[in-house]
Amino acid sequence: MTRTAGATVDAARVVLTADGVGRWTPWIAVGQVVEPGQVVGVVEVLGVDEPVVYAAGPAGRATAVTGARHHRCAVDHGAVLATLDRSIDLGGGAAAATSSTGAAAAGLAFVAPSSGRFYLRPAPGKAPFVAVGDVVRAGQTVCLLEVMKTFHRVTYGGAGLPDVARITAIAVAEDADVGPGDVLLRLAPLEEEAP
Amino acid sequence: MSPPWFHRILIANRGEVAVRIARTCDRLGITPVFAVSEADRAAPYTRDREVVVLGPARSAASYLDARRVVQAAVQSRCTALHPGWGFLSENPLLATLCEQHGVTFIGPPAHVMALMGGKSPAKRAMRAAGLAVIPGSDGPLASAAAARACADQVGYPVLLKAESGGGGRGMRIARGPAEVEAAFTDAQGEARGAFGDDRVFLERLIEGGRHVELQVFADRYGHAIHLGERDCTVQRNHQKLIEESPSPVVPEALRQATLATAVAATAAIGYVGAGTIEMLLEEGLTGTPTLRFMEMNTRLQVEHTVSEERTGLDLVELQIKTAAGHRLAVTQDEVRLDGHVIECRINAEDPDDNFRPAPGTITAWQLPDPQGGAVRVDTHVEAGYVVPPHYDSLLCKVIAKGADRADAIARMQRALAELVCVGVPTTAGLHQRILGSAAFRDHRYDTRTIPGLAHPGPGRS
Amino acid sequence: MTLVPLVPIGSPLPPAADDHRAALAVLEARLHARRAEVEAGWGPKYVDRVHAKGKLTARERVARLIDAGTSAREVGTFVNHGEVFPGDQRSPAAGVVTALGLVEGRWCMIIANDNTVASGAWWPRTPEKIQRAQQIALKLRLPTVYLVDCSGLFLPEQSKSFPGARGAGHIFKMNSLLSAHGVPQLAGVFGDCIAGGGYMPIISDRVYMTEQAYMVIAGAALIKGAKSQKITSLGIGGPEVHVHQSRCADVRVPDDDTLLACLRREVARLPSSGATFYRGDQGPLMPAHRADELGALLPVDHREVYDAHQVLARLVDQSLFWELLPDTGTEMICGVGRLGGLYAGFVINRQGLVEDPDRPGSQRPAGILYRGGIAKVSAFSRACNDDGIPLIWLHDISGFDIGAEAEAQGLLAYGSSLIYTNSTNTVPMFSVLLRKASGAGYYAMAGMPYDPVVQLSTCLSRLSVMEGRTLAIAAYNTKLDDDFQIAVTDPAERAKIEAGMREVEARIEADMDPFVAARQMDTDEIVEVAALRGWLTDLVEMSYQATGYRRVKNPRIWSLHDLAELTRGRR
Repeated sequence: MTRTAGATVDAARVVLTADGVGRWTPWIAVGQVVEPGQVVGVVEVLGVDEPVVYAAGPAGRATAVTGARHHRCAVDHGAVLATLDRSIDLGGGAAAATSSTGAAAAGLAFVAPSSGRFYLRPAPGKAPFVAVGDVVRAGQTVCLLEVMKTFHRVTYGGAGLPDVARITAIAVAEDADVGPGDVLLRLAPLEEEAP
Repeated sequence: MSPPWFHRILIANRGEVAVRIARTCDRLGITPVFAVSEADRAAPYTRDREVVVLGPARSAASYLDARRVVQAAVQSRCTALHPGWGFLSENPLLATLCEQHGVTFIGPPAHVMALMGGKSPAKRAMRAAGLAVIPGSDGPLASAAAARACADQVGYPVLLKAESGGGGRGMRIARGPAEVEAAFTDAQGEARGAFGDDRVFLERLIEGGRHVELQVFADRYGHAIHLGERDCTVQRNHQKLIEESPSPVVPEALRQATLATAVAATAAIGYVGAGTIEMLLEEGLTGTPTLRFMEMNTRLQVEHTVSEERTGLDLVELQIKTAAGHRLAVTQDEVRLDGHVIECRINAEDPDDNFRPAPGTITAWQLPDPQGGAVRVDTHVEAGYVVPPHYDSLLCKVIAKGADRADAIARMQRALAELVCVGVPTTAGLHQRILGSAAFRDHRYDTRTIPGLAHPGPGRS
Repeated sequence: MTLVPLVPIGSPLPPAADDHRAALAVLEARLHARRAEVEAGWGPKYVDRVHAKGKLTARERVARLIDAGTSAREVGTFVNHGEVFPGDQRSPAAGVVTALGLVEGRWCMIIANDNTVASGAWWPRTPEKIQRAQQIALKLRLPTVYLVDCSGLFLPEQSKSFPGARGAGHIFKMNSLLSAHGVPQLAGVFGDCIAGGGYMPIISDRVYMTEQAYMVIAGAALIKGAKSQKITSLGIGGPEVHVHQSRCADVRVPDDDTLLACLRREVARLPSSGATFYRGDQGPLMPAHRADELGALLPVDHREVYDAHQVLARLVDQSLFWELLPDTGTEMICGVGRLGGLYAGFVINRQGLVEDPDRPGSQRPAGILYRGGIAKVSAFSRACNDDGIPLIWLHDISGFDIGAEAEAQGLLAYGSSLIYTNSTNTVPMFSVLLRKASGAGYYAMAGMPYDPVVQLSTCLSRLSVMEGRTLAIAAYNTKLDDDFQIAVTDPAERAKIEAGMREVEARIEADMDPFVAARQMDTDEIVEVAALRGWLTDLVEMSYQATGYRRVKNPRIWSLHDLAELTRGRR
């Protein structure tokens, strides 16, 4: 199970806090740039290590990290895990915006997680999971991959993809073999459609 | 000096419950650690206390998350955990998780909690131990036809009840043979939807009756005692309003016989710690009153205070020492049951708006005069306290002791008149009406009727 | 470290659950019908014949021997199921009931000749079935009770049950080995006990006979032929002879009921179960997620996947589990939980896709053994053996990873290490074929060839060296091109190859039927999916019953803790 760190953002800083109780070991160090989506450490709860992710917010450089000198320190809900300095974000944010525009122009792609045979329907004769024009959300099943005689439901989502998007093309034919990284769906972000 | 038992105890509860447990910890030289939610971290009762914040205000991610609670105990170096009442106090999972992670759970063993948590197994075990039960099916019913056959045998009306869950869901009444099949099917469907378990059993429906419960206590070595009974018949929507001891209506011979059987049953099931056996006093078709087993609560109750005031014992202290392996320090013969004790639960509720819970800020708060030790108030509230909207609305419990029932009532009436609470509406006025009513004084009421209230509140079953 | 850090696992059922439950119910209805058919023996006529003699049937004897309110756990119910012998004869349950049952609170192996099937004759596979039961008893040191009522070998097929390594005589070797290992054996003789059968009771520690029982090396019929004497079997080998003159039996009793009561009294004199001691202050507790939901969890189509953690959540007490080595070989799950208050180790392979550690961001299927998973399972299996924790293997596995990379990584060698471990383990191991048990995956997960104490199948089990289609491709490999398409152009020959491949595929599919495995004794019993927890709970309790014969370490000295610590990264 992954935990999401609490994040309080103001003009200058981001303060990351613990979600619940446990023993905290940071994976980041003072001076390191921390980006959203990054795992910043683990919290041990009843012997099980759970990764803690900085889910969303601006990037920043770590100026203080709790537990850096003494791992597995006890934290409770709301305890400060790390403080990030946002001043480095000004240039980076602009760059990120540019690159995201670039990605949008080229279109988004959802790729196969592994090799296998592609099926758009749960079984012959049943309705397809998705069709061109559909809006997909993170976690939604979009196809089956048959890998070594077993069927795997492939769910939409992943790094660099928006939580919600519209399918512009299905890039693979039914029953075709695909390799890892092959494009399965082409997508467009939803906000572009606003009239 | 460190006490010869647990040095630190995690209190996995809030409000009045946490305050009650901490008071005994303080007296015994134990450091209490308060596990709180974000909503309670600044509550006055945690001032100058050790606090671990479990999670957000939502109980599911704080007081009801067993993993967080046990981790809090482990990382705050507590060697025992008191669950209080409510929240996870009757959850066998919490008990096992505590034991697996080296924390002593102050309560009975997990498998005994689980046994008493199952309606049919609990009933079977208690019947085997000699207590009268409400006539009905021996465990869940296989079919509507089996329900019909059983209903014909026990007599109408009957109640079909879900084996899992509670809160009134998965329950249906059949008043005659023609209604059994539909009642069975509906109860089954509702139980499946609500609890994922469609097992249903049947009992004869006893309407009215009085709610009488027995306080029992056992150590780890098979010694069990009782601390008398409590009568909790004054209820609104199954929520107890007033509890008193002794019961004004249970005949003495029945009281003694049932208490003795309850003690034997407590020992027979391997019970450890404080427990309450809830019974229904049925005036009966036969005319002979009978106390019938309803359920056993495997924890301390809100109204344990009534038994404490009658016996002079500190039940939390007994719980802690029992969990630390001590033998029961008192025998049954040494338990004294003195006078008459009444407790009123004062909630932040609006009597003019169908008792809607009324969170808010308390601007003025004044406790009644203790009347030379005859009046006790258990509370976590003080002036400036903000009643949070996330939890129950109990503000305080007022407990009054008298030489007899009339004396106790008089002391309670005076205490309630002296209690000052400004900022939120309370149920103190309701209690005054009940206490002042002739119906209450003459005990002309059952669980369906609130004495002194001409019209029962809407929404009552 | 004495803490066993169990934590809650599992979540409510996924939405497709009711479909799965309905599909499984169809298959399990067939199981119920077939079980009822076996239990009927040769039918009411033969039951009446037994009753007319004032005797009980084998299954009635078992039911009266065990504790009231309990039920016996029969193994080998479907041995010889569907088999037809000369004279169009059938032998339901191979003519012998072998069942684990609680007698006076002690688990016993009960071996009862079925007197409603050819007067308890031994058919082909009857000796093997009895020996299998004795083997289970020997491994768990369970008191063994023989309820003898046997007319001897089914003679037309004697060549299949007399001479081989597992021929009838090997039963008596097993009697001797049980005795040599200190396992108490009790026998009740209720009727015929002819020829070799005579040895089955008399190696037992206490032998009871009813007044209808006799034990003879040769029955009256044979003696009349050889010596022209007019005698009865009862006259030459009844209690009058064996209880008094030969002392081959200890006690004579008037009837079946008295004999069964005597056997119960004997078992009560044995030490009580160690399970109570090993449970300590813990009691048995039901899973938080109900065990009968297992039937709704497993898709009937073996190609559809599910969450293996959810299976474990519906098996272990309170759905509490300690997973070891969670970050390595994630295609496999290893860990410890309680069953009925007693610790057991579990190995189950995941379904669906897991992260590929060699290709960040890429995934691979989980029903396959890769290097990390094999090494993890080996280490876990060794540790459980070292700590004396009974080990449960839950199969739904397609096999080992194949290809150039797999060979270069040395999967053969990692597999050998696992095989060595499982082969030399002495801790009780149990194998459960949830669905697929294919190829080397079946071997790696301690399937039948690796001597699990008991192997259970479900109605979804598919046991084979490979799936039918794959096997057809392998068989016709020389006729296929690189894409597995038929490489022949001649239409006639093409059609012949196609038909041949279809035939191979169909035959393999049929052979994967769990009833085939059960008939051939390639699995011990077929059970309802929802009954798995009950079975495993009882098997684990049996594993902790006898004390003093195997290592049972307390958690303070478990090597599992070292393994957990060493694999947690830098500490």
